[in-house]
Amino acid sequence: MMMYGDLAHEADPIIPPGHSSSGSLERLLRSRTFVVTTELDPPDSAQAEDVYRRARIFDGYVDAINATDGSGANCHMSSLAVCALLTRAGYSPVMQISCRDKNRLAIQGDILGGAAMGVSNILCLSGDGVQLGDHPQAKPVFDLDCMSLLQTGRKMRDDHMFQSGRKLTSAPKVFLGAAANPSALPFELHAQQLATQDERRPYVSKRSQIDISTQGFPRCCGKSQRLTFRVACTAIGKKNRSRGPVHPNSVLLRFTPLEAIHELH
Amino acid sequence: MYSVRRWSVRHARGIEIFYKGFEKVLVTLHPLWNAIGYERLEKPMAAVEKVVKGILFDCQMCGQCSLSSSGMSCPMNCPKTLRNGPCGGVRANGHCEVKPEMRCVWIEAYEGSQRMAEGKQAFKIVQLPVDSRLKGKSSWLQMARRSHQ
Repeated sequence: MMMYGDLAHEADPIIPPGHSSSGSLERLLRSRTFVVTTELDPPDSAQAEDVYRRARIFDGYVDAINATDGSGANCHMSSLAVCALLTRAGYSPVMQISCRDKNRLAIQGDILGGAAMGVSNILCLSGDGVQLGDHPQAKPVFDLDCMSLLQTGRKMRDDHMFQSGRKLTSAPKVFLGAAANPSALPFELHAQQLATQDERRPYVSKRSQIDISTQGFPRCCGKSQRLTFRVACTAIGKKNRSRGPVHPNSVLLRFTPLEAIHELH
Repeated sequence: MYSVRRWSVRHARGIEIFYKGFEKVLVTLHPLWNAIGYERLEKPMAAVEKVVKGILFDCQMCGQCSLSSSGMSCPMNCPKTLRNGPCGGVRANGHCEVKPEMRCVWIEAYEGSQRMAEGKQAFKIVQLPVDSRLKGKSSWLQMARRSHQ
């Protein structure tokens, strides 16, 4: 069993100075180490063992495990539940929150619940459109979008209040992350969107974990040199999804442009 | 209508100039709106707004118009109703991942905003999440009312 130092059983874990969470992912990113995370596809099952079986494949290879939130708009075990199971076993999970299935009440409730379960990292996503998934009849919610979700998370963490302004008795100490698809066109627009997150939310940029899911990202980096995001490389194998988690060796091979990654640091 | 909507984005600068004048008129007429009563005006004004903006922008009457900061491309036409830029799923040809026949609303918005004077800066403003209580209400009247509060 891997131990990452994200301890769910500690009521008040120590947060290092300048950090927003007690999690190991933030510590590693801030220490400018090269960080590798992976995505764990939550099972279509009600068995905790199915989650652990998928997580064990990555023992020794990754620094944190992303639990997807209905990836590709397909129904799976919830991200919150997967994260709760992973923290129990000593893993360092990243809870993905997509805006597709939940309104602001449910999302804020999940942030609180996740933090209470020992989740230290939250990745804010817009989410895939329901039309592309296995339940195209479903109602797309999109009450928030990824930017307003980041804003909400930040308000809860730093200002100790819900989006409505109502006070929290205890704020979630979480490391908030955003995602970018640097190979999506047009580059200027996506780079500007990242820069907006940077300028408008200095708290995010410095604490951000950018989820690089394609090899095309160095192209974008040239256009957004002002950005000093620290990068967590996430390996996902969309094509391999049907066959379960990607084998770690093939995961690591994906990161060929290493120089480009170092330039970013 | 899709082609009209795209025309509006291509003519974002002209529409911006028109809107600026129109806003002044609406704000100046506040005493008149107040005399008639904002509540009484809500329904007819919303109906007019729906028709006009429906033709020009495929307006969805969210009640919180952000056209001036989204390059005259209505973000509510995005299948995910994203109000702060595109998602990561934009296709290589700039079309939507959910509706492949439609160009990404936010790519259109970016192009539109580049044609505008104030739209370039306004494009960078982070929009608050939609207040669903305002859905179907007239954003014109709200603008007039807000400027006198």
